Amino acid sequence: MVDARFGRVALALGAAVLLPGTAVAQTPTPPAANVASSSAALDVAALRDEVKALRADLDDVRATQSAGRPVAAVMPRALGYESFWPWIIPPEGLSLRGYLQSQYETHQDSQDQLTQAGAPLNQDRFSIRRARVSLTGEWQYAAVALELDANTTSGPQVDLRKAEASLQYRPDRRLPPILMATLGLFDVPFGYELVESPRTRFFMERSVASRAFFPAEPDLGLRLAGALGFFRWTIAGQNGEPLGESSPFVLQDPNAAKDVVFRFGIDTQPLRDLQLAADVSSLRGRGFHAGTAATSATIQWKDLNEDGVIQPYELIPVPGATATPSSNFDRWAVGADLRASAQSRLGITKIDGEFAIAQNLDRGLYIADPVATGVDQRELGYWIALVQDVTPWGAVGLRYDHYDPNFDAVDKRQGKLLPFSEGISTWSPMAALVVRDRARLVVQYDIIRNAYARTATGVPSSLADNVFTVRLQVEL
Amino acid sequence: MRGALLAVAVLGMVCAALGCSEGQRADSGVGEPMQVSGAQFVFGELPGKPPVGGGATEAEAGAPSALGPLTVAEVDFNNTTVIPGASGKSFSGLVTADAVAVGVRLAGIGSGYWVVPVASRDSQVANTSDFAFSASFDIDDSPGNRPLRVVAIDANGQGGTQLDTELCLEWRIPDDRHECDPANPVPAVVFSLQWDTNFDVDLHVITPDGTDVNPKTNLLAYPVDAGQPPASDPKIDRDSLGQCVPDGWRQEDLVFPGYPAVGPYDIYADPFASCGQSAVRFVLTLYEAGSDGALHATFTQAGELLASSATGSGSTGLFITEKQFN
Repeated sequence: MVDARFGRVALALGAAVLLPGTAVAQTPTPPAANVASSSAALDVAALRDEVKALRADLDDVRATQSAGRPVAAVMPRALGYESFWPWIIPPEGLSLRGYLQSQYETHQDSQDQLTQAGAPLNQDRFSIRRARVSLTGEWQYAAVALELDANTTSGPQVDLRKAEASLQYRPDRRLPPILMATLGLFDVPFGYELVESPRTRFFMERSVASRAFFPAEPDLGLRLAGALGFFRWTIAGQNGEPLGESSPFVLQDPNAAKDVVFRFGIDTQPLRDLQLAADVSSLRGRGFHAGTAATSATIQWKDLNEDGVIQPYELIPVPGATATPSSNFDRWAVGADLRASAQSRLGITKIDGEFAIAQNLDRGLYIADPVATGVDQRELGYWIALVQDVTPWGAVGLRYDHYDPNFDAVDKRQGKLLPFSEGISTWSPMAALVVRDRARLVVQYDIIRNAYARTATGVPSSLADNVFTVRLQVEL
Repeated sequence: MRGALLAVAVLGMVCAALGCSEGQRADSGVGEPMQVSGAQFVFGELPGKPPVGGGATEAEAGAPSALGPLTVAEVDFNNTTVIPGASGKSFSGLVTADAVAVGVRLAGIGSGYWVVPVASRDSQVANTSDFAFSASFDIDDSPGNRPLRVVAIDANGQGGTQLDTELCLEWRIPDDRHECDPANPVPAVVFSLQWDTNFDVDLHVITPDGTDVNPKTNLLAYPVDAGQPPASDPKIDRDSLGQCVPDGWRQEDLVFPGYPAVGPYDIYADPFASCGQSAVRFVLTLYEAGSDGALHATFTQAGELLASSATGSGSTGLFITEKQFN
């Protein structure tokens, strides 16, 4: 807008200068005019010299850029939205960024009670969801990314979210690297939600399936990635024990096998007002079933007659038990995601979707352990979302996501095993007030359908656990 | 700004269209006098007809010879007495095969009932199905005889005739089941110390002859032949939070079955071990048998102890009061 206005002003000024000159040229030239004409020629020569000097300066700047010296760069933002790691192009040299997400949320299933482990069941509260500071270093052949997260989700805590050390080949500094090798802590490159920054995502959290498969985004490993034209590829080997997992081995690895993740896709802008991106992903790895330690012999008391008094026949000897070995199990997932953004008079419209099928991958919700159950746990998750800009100051969106943690779930009713769905479906309408590149005030209501409860006739039913969240995000 | 308001309005309309408030309530059942594991709590009265003639009074009501529709034929359990705060008490029974679930509650108390799906067909009694559940009871449940009321529910949510089975909920203050059977005499005196966190507090009572009675040495007089002390001897009933193991009681009682010996009794609260807590609030209550044959609180004193004052049994702890018996 500013450029266009400037252009019109420059055109008007140019016309004002040139048109009188033309009129003067059509009249007989008086002697004084010859003096003016030679003066104008001098001015033109001076201007030519100045243009030549500016061109030389520009060449110097370009040379400096190609030599890897720090120059301010601007992150590419196709249709107003940033790319994601590792396709993001940070400014040259060191740069510091950060953002804060503070929120109030209220859950229908909150209770003023504690769990058996002492954790509060009340979730109606204020919290710092994310307070993140990231330091990136971008040079010709090397790059580094560090990100720290502080939050109060489960009490005050600070985590390392990114620690990426990379070697890269990026001859064109305006484009992502042709080849990049990263060692460290980075987001699992499966699908789109895991790699999309929570700073750019309008919806509060990832879909239920994504959170079940990957309780948090980062894991340790090696990543190879590259971008050639519109083609994007990523191959990674990771420990397979991501942050946030419900196990004692978070960001460690109890088995030697690594989770191997592939993602191949495209990211292109076929029209000036349309961007398309799509990926297919796969993961194959090995989960860990922990064995048990040896135990000593003990005596248990079971109050069989429920009188609160020990009777001899109520004492049960429990012999010592030998240790049992740990074992591994296979797990895998395949998925695909599609993203489209279009610019119209309304603003930018984004439609995203993703699905994944998996086996024994649930590490956050219905945790899979086929060694214990003897049955592989088959899972399905998908989501689709629409976000529409409403003027430069607002946006609305709607996301539907579904997660079926076990295709083979059965419920026993009247002595019969009946198949039933443990699926969790969530509708998430969202509205946001946006101060571009600086702040967002987002409200979201999650309408959740699950199978956690039963009806008055004992049939599995939904437990009311809708969630309302209002979040303020401010960026550094 | 107009766009933002429009966005909020759209959010509200979408919410209304999708039915934002469906689903079973999550907070139901918490704080009920009886909680049933793995069952669904439903607010309100049990469906079906009230029990006939007050229902069964035995723990094992035998299966009637001819069963009508939606009939609870049998409710089985081990003991009619429910000790305070009992956890995992097992119940099972039979219902006619037209039932898909049973509803269960304690009659007269609580705000609703629990729904338990029936299990498989019974292998011995024709046209019946089994049901089973495990129930826990609040330690502060109102003591006395309480019928356990059970009803069979069909697939349409209709109930049959309810069946009552008597249970005795014991009082957390030891009264020899007097609340359930008034013929049982209550102890003459009970010193009861209760506290609010998992802090190992010990009740100490210095008797007129200078004996320090506490949970670690809980008798006033020990039998000389190493046999069982007589039931009539005073004693402290438990060492609550012993070795910092939570037991759900947080209560110790010195029980005098007969009237105590004459003289002054000094009562202390000993912060034996803090068990990771920073402080504990306690209440000492003195119960005495009244002329009506029941126990009545005659004295109450509250206080607070800090973790920094934990003694490890080096002393009797904080002096609370002196009680004179004449």
